[in-house]
Amino acid sequence: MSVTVDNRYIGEEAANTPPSEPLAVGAAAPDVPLHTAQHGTVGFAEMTGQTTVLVFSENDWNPARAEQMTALTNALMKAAIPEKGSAFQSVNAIEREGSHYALRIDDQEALQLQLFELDNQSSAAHAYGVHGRQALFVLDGAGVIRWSHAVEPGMLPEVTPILASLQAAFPSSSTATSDSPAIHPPLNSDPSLSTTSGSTTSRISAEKAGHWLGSRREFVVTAFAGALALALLGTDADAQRTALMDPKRLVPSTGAETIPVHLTINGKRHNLQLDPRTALLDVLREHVGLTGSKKGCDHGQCGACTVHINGQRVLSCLSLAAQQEGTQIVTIEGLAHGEKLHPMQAAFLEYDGYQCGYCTSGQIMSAVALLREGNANSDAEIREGMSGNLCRCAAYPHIVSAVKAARDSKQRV
Amino acid sequence: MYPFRYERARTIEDALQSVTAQPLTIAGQSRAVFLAGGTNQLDFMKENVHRPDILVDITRLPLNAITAMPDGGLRLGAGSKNSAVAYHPDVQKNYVILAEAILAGASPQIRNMASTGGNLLQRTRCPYFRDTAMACNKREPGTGCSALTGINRVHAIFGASPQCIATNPSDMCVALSALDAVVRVRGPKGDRSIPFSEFHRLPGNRPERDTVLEPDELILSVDLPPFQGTSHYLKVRERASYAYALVSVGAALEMDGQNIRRARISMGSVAHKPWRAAEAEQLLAGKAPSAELFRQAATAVFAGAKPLEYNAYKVRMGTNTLTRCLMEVSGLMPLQGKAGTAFASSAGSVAGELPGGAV
Repeated sequence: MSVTVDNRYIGEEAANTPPSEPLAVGAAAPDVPLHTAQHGTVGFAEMTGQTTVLVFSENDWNPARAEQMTALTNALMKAAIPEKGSAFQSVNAIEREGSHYALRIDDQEALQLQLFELDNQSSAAHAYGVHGRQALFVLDGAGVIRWSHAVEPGMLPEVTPILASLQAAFPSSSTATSDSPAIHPPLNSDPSLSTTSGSTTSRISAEKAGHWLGSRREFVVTAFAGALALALLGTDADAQRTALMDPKRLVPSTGAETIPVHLTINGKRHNLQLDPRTALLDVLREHVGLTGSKKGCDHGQCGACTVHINGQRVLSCLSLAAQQEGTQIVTIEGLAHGEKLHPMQAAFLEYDGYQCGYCTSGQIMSAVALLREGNANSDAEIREGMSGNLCRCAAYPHIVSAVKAARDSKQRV
Repeated sequence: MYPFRYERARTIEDALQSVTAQPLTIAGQSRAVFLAGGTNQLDFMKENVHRPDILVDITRLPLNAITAMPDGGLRLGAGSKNSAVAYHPDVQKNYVILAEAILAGASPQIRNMASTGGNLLQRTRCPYFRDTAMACNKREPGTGCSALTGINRVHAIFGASPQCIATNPSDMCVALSALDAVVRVRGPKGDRSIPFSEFHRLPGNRPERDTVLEPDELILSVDLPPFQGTSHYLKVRERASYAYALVSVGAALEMDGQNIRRARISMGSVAHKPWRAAEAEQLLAGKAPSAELFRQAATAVFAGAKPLEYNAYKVRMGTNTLTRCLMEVSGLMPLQGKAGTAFASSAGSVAGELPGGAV
């Protein structure tokens, strides 16, 4: 798909086929208005003219979000004096007014940028090729995409791929060399960049187009954008934001060194950078967005966190993530095949094997393993075999019925 | 949980080097400890009871095998999982007490994670040990024993000291004690074999040391001598499943015709280590099994008990459990469930099933 005029469409009428992949670096941003969460509707023309960061996120109603955003930016402004070796080495101050941020570097003119938070179900998200996904884009003054990152659907953003992407895009910047204030023209520099919007054509002048930054400044802005966006997109803001600021030297907030850990979860490989104390349960819930496994007691006493490792049922709260390199981890999310439920899940539905549902993922994982172990021949054996999974709602009788039904069904468990 | 450095040992040499020459912290806690299943270690680290600086992951070492020995015995690799041991055909056939003991303990998930070596080293369930706000000589030597004048429901009636009245909670260890297993360990000074009865200590005036294992020694295996008799484990607990024992008994019986040639009897949750019922073993040798003999033996054992304010129930409960275990292992009473399962080893109703099969 080319990145020129053909790809654009107007406003709410997404009549043409939207891109199925996120728009690439070098592509021109589509001429669509942006319905932002906090700053009203921003037209395309208003958006261009300065460096812009767009964050596409879930639009679930979150009253805490505005608070978090305010608290985060206040914290960033207070913490504007960074450690040595950080990409923000010379950022002396961060000022914010509404959607506008000014990063003051080396007492020179401040880097100006604006940041908008957008609904990833919107037509704008369609236009950027990130419908349903969390993503961030950094645009230059001409509206050309200089850097982007889109998160896999259903996952949470991870620092490592973002850092890798930043380092690939700005290889010389990560060593904090002295700034070169050259202004680089946009990649597909056409001074008369135009948009077609049906009845109107707008032109963006060369002056506006030229406002992209020197390589280190670009990196600073992009890293800042990435950090802010990560916080908005709901990752572990503390440790990961700090990590994002300094790709060379991860500075964890806990005082412990982080270590690389590679996990295979539901068939998918994850490359993580973790505090060694991180339990597998916390990796699942906080780092890779698999919140199906629950934290009931965190001490191995309730079974709500039950997952399969190498086919065996185990407690993820007492499993150190670092120990799981090379193992096959399956969580409740890995049982179903797309929309087709696992027979045990179907049985729990049919036999009403839950009330509040909190113990249920652990019960199902335990039950599947129990049947595979082969010791579920009587009610008593089932109860004994499931005794590591507590249910405060006392759904036990129906759980036993569900397990028996799954056992006796013709389907392979 | 306090921060630590994580290391993964590729060889036994690696593992030993990682912990050798690490100075101990105060209170005898090691700076570097081995990590296998983690079900006990991580639990206590989450409570800040354990604060190692270095965790050495030994799960990749070649210690998982369960191997038949030339003399007819069985070698349990230190890394073998509790569930693998319990369901191993040799264990189910020749060392039924061990299968019944393991399956009577913890939960299926924990049994899949916990290792043989780790089970030997599990710490007491005394609530004062676990609570860093309470004085505890085991956790912090010299601070006193809160249980002595506290709620000492689950504490020792044998072998205690004024410094510590904690009990060893392991079911598996009671079985290993009755079978006279041998613990093989390796340290910087070489290998040694420790008879099971010597592995766990009495508290004395050094309650911080649960076992004779040095901090820089690694358990390689637990070796079971050949055994051709009958054996059985019986556990009394407050829940039908997934609870520690109030009292438990393991018995390994070898007959000479109609008479008992040798009875080895060990008890759990009554002392700082599995407690061999020496008085009963002596009384039973050479005699024919009978209810009166067994009750006489049990009474003799518990005559030496020293109950505390809240654990006096263990005297009568222990006497009855010991008697009953002997009745069941000798065939004078039927087992409550199929041999080699939790149904045989749980006194009272398991999973809602009453003795005799009625639900």
